[in-house]
Amino acid sequence: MTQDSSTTTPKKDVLIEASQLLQQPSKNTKRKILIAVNVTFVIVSLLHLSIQLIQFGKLPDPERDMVLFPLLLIINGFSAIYNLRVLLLDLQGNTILNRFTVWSSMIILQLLAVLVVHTNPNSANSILFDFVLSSVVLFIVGTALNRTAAIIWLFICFISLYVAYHTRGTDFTYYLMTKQEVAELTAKVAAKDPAALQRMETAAKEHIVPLPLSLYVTIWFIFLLLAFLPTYFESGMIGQILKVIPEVIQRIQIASEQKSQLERENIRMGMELDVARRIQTMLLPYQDEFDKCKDLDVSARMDTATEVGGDFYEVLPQADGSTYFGIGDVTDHGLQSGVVMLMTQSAIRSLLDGNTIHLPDALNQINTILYKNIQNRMNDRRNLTLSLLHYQNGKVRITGQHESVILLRKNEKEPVQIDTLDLGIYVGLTDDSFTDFVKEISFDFQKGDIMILYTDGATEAENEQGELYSVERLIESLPKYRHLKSSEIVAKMAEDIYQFIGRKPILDDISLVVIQRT
Amino acid sequence: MELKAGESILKYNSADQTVTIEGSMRLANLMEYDKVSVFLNDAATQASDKLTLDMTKLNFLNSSGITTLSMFILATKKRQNPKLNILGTALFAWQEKSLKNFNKLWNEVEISIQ
Repeated sequence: MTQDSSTTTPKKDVLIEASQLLQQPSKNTKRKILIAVNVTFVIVSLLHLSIQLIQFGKLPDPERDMVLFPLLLIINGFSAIYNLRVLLLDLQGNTILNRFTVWSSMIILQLLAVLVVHTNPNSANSILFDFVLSSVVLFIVGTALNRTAAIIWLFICFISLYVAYHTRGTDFTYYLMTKQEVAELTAKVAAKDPAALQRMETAAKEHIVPLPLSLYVTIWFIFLLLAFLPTYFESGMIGQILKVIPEVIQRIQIASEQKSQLERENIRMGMELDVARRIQTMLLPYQDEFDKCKDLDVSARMDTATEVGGDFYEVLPQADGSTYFGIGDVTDHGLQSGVVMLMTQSAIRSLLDGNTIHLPDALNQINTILYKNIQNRMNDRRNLTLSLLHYQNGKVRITGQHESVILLRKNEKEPVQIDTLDLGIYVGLTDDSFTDFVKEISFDFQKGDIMILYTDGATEAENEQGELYSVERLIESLPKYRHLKSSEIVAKMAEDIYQFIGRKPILDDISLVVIQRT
Repeated sequence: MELKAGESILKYNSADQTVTIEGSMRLANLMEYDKVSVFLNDAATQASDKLTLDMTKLNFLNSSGITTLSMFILATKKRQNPKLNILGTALFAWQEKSLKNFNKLWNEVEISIQ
């Protein structure tokens, strides 16, 4: 009977689940770090700009700041908004935008870190304080980007540090003034003492302008915040990963168990398939039995599908010169179908072989035997289509519903079909009123006539385009081989089917029985 | 109530007590047809006195599917409720043979070929 590929929905892969569990914390962490850093930077920059403009009426380094700050506000602002949206709406994000926002905002940070060190009005202090930003950025780059980016940035920092060191002068020494010295100098500058003014001018030239402590406190506040945010999310991520590890291990264990169970199942099913195929084919009649059929040239073949489909045929030559034939097809496939086929064969043999029995009676008894065994013992719903035929003295009697019988008369060009639809019903399905539907008909079978019995595996053989071979094609294929021996007709007709299906594997057993009156 | 079975869909409309089966039903084996059996039995329980099975758009049913429908008809026959009305079509070759068999299994099954 027709089989189909499995339609069960695949279970969610536990290993993919495990990997998602592990990736989830780190995935969001990078985004959170990026958002936190960018938001902080944008807010701090805006504050810095407004304080500078309100307090001093101008920016500390207009040439630098008029380029850097708008760039920072646009790029880091966009990065913050984009990533916040992706995080809050739980989106996948655009790959290009994901990369762009992380790289561009990191580059802006790095640019800022380099510039503040080298353009500070007090170059001695820039080494002491501003360089800390480079260290903080090192941590941010390492967490938000990757290890390689961090290494590259480290080298840039080394160069930057070396350049700042050289620019300042390698022999420069820090002298700190006491509170009193500062007070005296400030008073002298206020009184416009020429020596004091000269000193301040020289200091400005040498980039050692005095700066208020509040500025350093602000700078440190920003640096601390910038260092804290990645640390906060990064350590949160480590905590989350540690939390999911037991779950991940559990998933991996399940996957490993599933795998070994699948392997065992595969071995078991492989063995079962093999047993099923052997059961189905071991009781098929041989050619030398066919040769014992009087007045008939008989040949048959069964090509089993990967999963054997429960096809069945029988040829029983009798001592009185007559021959019993049977052809059938069990529902479904596998071991149970093979067992049903086995019981059918046994029942047919015991009822028909060597006996004179009315065919419908035999079919009724077969139905009862199979119904009781299948429904009561096997607890199964399998059943079969089955036709029984008896050839005797130029006449064929037939009973039971199966496929049609193809009959090519010696003097006719085209074969005809003998319908079996009204000769019975599924065997083994019900014992209620089965006998009512079993009927027998008969037809002449004269010298030169050819009769074909087949199963739906032949007519429903499918090619790569999904077309079925059909009973029409099967009928058409017969006349051109009518002059051949039955064994050759079987081979040729099967060849036509294989030609039609091409490279597509057979999905159902194909059985053909060719009977010629000699 | 709706059930997707491979390339086919079963729908139960309680208003006109009709199960519509559309598409090509070719599940791999009898066991996979269990869900179809459950669906049909649920529909039969819900339908008070008469259940229509509309198969006019069911272009293919494999032998395991035919067995499943046959078993459903036999079970309904045993309960004698609800009465079954099957709508079929001459368009698809398998229906001619199978629908006739359904009527054999329970002669009170009404078959209308459109």
